[in-house]
Amino acid sequence: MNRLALAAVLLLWSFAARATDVPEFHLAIQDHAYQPAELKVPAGTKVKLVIENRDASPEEFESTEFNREKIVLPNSTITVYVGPLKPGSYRFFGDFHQDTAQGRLIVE
Amino acid sequence: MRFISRTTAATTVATLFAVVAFGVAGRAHADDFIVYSPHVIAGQSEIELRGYGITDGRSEYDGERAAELSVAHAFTGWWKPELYLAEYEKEPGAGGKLVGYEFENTFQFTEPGEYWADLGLLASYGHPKGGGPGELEVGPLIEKTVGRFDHRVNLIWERHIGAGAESKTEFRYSYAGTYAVSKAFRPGIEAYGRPDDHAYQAGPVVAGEWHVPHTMGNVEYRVGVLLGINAAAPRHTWVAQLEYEFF
Ligand SMILES: [Cu+2]
Repeated sequence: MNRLALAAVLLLWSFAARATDVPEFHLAIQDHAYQPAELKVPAGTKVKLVIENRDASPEEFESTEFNREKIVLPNSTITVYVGPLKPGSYRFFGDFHQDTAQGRLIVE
Repeated sequence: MRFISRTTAATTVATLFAVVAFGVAGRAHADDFIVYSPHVIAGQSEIELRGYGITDGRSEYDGERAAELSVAHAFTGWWKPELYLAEYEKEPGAGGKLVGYEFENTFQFTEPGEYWADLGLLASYGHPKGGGPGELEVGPLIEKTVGRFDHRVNLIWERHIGAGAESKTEFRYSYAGTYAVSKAFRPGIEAYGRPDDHAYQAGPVVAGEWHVPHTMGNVEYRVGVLLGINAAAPRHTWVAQLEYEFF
């Protein structure tokens, strides 16, 4: 069935286009705040954010400006792929503790 | 490697579903105006109500309505099963009735942003209330985000199974493009094509979400109107969705 073949091609194409050596950056969540609150990342390339939650409660890493949303369980780590982004300042926050969990990606 | 095991497991389950869907012997049931995301947020639960209503000068279209109530929970980062507890349908000129149940699965194959586009799969089984053929739906879910822009494409094949099922496979596709002005306001457009019904529709939508203070929950909404592009499509289809997502 040619439609199934199309689906298969889409699948393969997606896996073939794998990211190569994506630079990694680290963020921590402690006392419902991001550390560092400003993280510098390079422009024009995909980056990998490794986010560690050191609190005893879950947090949701979220950004409207670069369209990401992911839960970080207590005492665990997640990976979030971001970009490529143009130079600028992009806000992210912790959806469950928005009063304190605020940060920015400084893309340059 | 975590990526491999997740993908292998998701692919195995998805393939099994596809084999069942296409190995067995369908007309489309009620239209379903939603463009699915392949993204699965591990640990998140959802309660969702969505529906649509048609207004059209022609009596064979005017007054058609449908609504669905569902619950879902993402057990892992790659699998979100969703149970449709009630499916209501009202055909033009007839009374409304509950038509069945549905078990729907979203499989996330790739991590958002890891590749050029994000890939997932939808696989669902719809069970009619009071007998008749069931309905299988399978197809890839594709999403690409570029800054505040988000694009989604769904390609869905649908087949009926069981007693009295037609042996025809129906195909539909849909697109949603939105721009996140803020978390609560994401305007965009949606388009739907059903070649088997010669129905093509497109129109403006607005979606968004609010965090519910002091909880781990969000209220999400989506409203829009789809205009018929060709004569065989309904003139105005009003779509609405309300969801509570919590952890
Ligand atoms: Cu959120």
